[in-house]
Amino acid sequence: MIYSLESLNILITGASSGIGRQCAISCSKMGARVILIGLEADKLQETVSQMDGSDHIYFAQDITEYEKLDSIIKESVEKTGPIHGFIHSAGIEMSRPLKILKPENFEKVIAVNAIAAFEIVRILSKIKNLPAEGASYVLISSVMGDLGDIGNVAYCSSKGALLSAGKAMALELAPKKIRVNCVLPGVVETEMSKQLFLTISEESRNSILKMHPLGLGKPEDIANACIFLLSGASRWITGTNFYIDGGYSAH
Amino acid sequence: MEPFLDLLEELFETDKSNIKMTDHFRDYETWDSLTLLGMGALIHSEYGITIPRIDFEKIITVEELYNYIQTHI
Repeated sequence: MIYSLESLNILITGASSGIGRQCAISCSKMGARVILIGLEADKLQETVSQMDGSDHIYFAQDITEYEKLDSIIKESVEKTGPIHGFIHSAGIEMSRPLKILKPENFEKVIAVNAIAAFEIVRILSKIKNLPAEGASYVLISSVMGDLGDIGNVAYCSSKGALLSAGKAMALELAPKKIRVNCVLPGVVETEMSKQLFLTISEESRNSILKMHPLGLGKPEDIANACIFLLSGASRWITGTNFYIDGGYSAH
Repeated sequence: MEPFLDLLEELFETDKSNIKMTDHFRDYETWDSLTLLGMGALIHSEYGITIPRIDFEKIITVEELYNYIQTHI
């Protein structure tokens, strides 16, 4: 079945919670074997306990410790075989007005939101880690990667980086049969957005809600888009930005 | 006290000497929703705490803000 992920090995960052957790769960239900990466082992175990199938593996690892990524992926490939798919869902927010945004704030958010993804793509796209039939990588950006947002310069810059890099990677990796696409969620109901909502005014909260004609998203909405992009159904899709935002960017 | 005043100096874009403990910080010229956002971000990164909105609404003066932070670190 063309939308199936049966027997595919998929590596997912940010799998401890939110969108990443749901991606791991949904991919498992479509038959994938998942390699989960996140910060906290107990949260990763919690994710695994909600997944179908029993041969998933996980690593509690800060992905901005770039030098550790090689051995994690090597170990994964030894256990599972070559890796057919990647979802970069790890990410932090950085709501901070420009007047107090320093270079170290940018460096922190760009490291985990973008550079870690690039490093993982670099390693996964090596011939030794690549299946003969190619692979599909999904970078989870944000509508805020393409649109501006007050108080979010650093976050926007990190999510925007994924969009440009995604296109360049799509072109560069096409000869290896690797597709690279970005998903751009609107505001999705996760722990991260819940925390953010606590810090803003009632007025801001309501205006965000109003900007989503179909209401706020659920992690499943993003996971379903990722499944499509990882599956054979998206065979001819690469270098694109896939807006999954309840109509936010239609404004 | 000094680091706290540095934080306010940066946030409100005013010299420390203009800040009095009895000031109502919401009356400062540079108070707006972005400054509110920045205050939350700075308090979180400098002191590791988040002030719940319900508590924050009751904090009126610079001194009350200082005391709240000191008692919640």
